[in-house]
Amino acid sequence: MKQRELLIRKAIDALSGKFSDDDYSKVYVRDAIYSLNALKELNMSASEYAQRYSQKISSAMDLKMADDTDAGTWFDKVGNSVD
Amino acid sequence: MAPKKLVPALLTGLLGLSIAACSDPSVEKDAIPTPAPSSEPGSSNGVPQVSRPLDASSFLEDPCKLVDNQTLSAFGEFEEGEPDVDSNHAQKLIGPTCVWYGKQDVGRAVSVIIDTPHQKYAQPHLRGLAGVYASKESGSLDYLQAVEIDSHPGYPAVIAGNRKDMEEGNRCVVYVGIADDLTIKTSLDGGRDPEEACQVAQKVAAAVLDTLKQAN
Repeated sequence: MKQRELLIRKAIDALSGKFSDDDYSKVYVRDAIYSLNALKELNMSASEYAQRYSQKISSAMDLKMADDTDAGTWFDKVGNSVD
Repeated sequence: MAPKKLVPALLTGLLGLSIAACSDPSVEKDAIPTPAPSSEPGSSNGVPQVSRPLDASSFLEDPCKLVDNQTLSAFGEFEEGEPDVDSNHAQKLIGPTCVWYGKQDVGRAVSVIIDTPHQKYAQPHLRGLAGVYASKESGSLDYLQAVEIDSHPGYPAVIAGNRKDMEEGNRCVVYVGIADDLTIKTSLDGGRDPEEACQVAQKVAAAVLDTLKQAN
């Protein structure tokens, strides 16, 4: 993700040097930079969402493992009491 | 350059990505780094000129050769340089590039770019550093500071960008004129702060000029 962000920054840098004096090109470059910035924000937002989602899955896995461990411990006790 | 030529070039470059002043040099008063302002042996409309152009054509296929590992090791531990010379965006928009990512932190990255697309597609009077000065004058860049690269006073250079990006990314881009119509950009992203980033970018620029002078 950091590499993608860097690539977008380089594209914006590439458009930072003026190419042409005509208004059409100016507007086009301005819009392109705007789009690239929007893409950068979208990527960062998606990355944050994926990280949060990954943490939730990880937490759920930990909880499930703890439940299973507790259940296993309980069954062991029951088994021992029968013996 | 005719606008007809610029638009397809930019479109092509941007499509590749979407998958995922000519007057006063406007030296900034406040600042990111403050080395001595560039001496200007000659200037055209306020844009410093290059008296002895350097030929970078032998590095277009591997810009990573422009900076040696010993130079980079002074700024941290970096992976081997990753060249990008054949991709659509390298050919049409950004230019042949080499990036060295930090070993501990991939967000800390040194880059060198030979800005051939701007040389090819910009109007003749806007090529090279003139395009950067013109962007500052038109307001599309809000920061431009002329700097002198150590041991290379004949090659004009500027730190340019937008303050917000520089501060948010702790980054700095140095534009070095190696010919009147061609610049090489050196940068550090993910520095400790913009000041450190600019110091590193200027030292990398000095290493690039050392290499180019030896090759010319």
